[in-house]
Amino acid sequence: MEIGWLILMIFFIIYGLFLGAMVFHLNTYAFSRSAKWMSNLIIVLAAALSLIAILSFSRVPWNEIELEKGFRNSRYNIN
Amino acid sequence: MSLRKGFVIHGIILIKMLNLDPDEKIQLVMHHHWIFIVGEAVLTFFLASLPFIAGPFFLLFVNITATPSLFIFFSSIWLLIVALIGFGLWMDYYLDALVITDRRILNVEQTGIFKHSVQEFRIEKVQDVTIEAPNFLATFLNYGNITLSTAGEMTFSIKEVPNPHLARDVILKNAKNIGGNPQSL
Repeated sequence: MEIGWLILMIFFIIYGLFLGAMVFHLNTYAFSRSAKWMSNLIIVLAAALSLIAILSFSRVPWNEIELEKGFRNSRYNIN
Repeated sequence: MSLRKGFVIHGIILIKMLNLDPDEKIQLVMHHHWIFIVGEAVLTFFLASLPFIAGPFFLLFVNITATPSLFIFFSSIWLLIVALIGFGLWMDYYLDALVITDRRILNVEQTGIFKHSVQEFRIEKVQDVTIEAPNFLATFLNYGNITLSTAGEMTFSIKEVPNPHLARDVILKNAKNIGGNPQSL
């Protein structure tokens, strides 16, 4: 599942860069301390969700999942 | 709306951010009325709740053994994207402001995510201040549009600010103090 990890990491890198740019922009033009709190909140939230995403991704049995009976009955099946 | 309360913090940050003179006094800082963030907040919460609404349908397509991890994975990725959208919407709301000092009026505008502009003119150049309540909701919730005309035939308007009468009073008072001759419409 190396390609999956690669795609996930690319997603997190792009997400991190974009979020970092937004936080930087907000703090550059901020009016009050609430911007700082909001920045910290979104960073903590994003970090927590990223951690959950990575942990759950690692627990999915990707290699054992396969399409059972084509698109009409598109259930994934283990084994 | 941020009025005098918190102006010490506002003042320090604004003097630095807007390059105000050290002895320039901030009279009023106004953001858009809160009603305009409510719609965006509802949209964000709706998007955030979609995985939980769509969860039962997810079970139809995925084997039960793989479901928890897959569901949590896709939900967390979705929530990451929604969190970014919500943050962007809040930023757009928060970074739009009307700042009135004893010398200037500054219309700080955030367009999209990264476009930021500051329009300013000196308060003695204000000639007309027009207030408009565009609908019943505006009257009921006490918000409206303010249009300012200056001596140089320049006009600009700030939409959906709370308590526009207060903003008009502050502008007129400062304009009179500084020697202008504005009219209120």
